[in-house]
Amino acid sequence: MNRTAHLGMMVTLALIFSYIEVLIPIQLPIPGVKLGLANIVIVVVLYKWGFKEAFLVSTIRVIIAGFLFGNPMMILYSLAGCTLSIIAMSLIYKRNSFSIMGVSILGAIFHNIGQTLVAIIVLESFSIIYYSAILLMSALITGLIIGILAQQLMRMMKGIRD
Amino acid sequence: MKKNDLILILTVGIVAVLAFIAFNAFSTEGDVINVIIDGQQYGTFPLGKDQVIDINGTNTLEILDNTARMIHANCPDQLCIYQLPISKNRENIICLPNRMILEVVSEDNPEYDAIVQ
Repeated sequence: MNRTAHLGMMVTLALIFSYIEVLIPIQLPIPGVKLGLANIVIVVVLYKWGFKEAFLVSTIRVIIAGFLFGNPMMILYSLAGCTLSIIAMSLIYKRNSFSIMGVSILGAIFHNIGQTLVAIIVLESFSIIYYSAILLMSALITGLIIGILAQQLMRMMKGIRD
Repeated sequence: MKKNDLILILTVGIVAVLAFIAFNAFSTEGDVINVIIDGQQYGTFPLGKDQVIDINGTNTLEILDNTARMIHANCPDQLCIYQLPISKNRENIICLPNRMILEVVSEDNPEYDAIVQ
């Protein structure tokens, strides 16, 4: 019961972050570059609960946010990105060889790889590879920011699943 | 921050910079805009001629001063409208909802395409 309530709260928090991101009016001239604030929550859930819970929260978040603020196409891209990103992060976060920042950066990189793969399939073209350098660079920056914020959120959540 | 984090950041950073240089350093001004929808060729338009082109009724492409940009799209996200105008070989604008690619191609450089593909 406690677990269900906490995870429900995490989904809500992730949705609020998705909403805040929609409200930011700055549009970058590069397609696909986003901060991805909701991923703060996903990283925290992964650390505090585990792969299964992170996957669950992320999938529910993507589907609800997709219907609220996006479109079905967006859900497809986000699901591919999120799933690949969680798998990548879950493979390394337990080993203690990377800090939460490193794990988050790796997650961001694989998020972009997942979305690029879907775009290649949907567009039936490799033209999008042209953006891979910019997407890699942006994953470094956004992943680091998300990692730092996730670390702060973990500290604030002391007492919940410690 | 751990040592491995820094190694990860440095490695990925170097790869990204090298990839960026590889894609951009040798790029020359292109000649035509290739419009591809669903992986199929839709049309080719010269960059040298200023014009506004309606594509399938869903998007509008504008060619002005040897650069191309999307000025209208019927999708909700409008990401392609915000992309900077393109003019260099291999640069592209992608409209994901309509599965459309506008790509600059250099006509006198066919062997480059053969290598990439």
